Amino acid sequence: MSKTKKYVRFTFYWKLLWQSLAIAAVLFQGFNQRDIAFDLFIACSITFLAGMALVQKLFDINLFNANKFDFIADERDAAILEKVNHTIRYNRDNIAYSLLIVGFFVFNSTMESAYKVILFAFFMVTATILPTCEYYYLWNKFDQE
Amino acid sequence: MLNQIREMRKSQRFSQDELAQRTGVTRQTINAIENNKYDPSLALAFELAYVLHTTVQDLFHYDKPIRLSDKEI
Repeated sequence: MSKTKKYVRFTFYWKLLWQSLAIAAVLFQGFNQRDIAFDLFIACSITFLAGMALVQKLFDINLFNANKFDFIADERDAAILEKVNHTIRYNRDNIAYSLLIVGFFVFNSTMESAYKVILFAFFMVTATILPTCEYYYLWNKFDQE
Repeated sequence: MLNQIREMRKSQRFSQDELAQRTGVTRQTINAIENNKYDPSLALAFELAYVLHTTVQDLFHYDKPIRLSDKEI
């Protein structure tokens, strides 16, 4: 497996983990389970920071100071990256606008707060986990073509 | 784009990995080029030709699609 593919796979699982912990923390906070929410928030932060340290160590990339081509091994990987980013940008913009419109109506409604928390968590999943999965899926798809 | 890279590589006893290292790309890229799944840039095409001791014209063949207007001409 190339260095690029290893990096893409690593960052996929890393993002999935810390984003899931963040959403779980928000959910528990919304249902007034503050102790559990705090623990999840700490776990999320540790996962995030540990991942950044591992990326630096394993791939020699400083995420604070990186550009998108730092993990690219050659021109073919650069072409795949451009295709993936182009596809994702189009989808991400559509999802963001849809969420804004729906969110505006939902959070201004008279719905119970528990439902609002669940809906907010759903929005977070749509805004974070889905694009992460989409990026990984598209990368593998274009890599096979 | 059709190419003779696999044949030329084997005739000179290079593995895909060796050719990739000599041309500064990954083995996956060499594999994709050999299987006509990726067209290299001009710079990479010249690099491949140089490493395989041949010319770009001998290494790559442009498979131009036939258009109706060409037939009429």
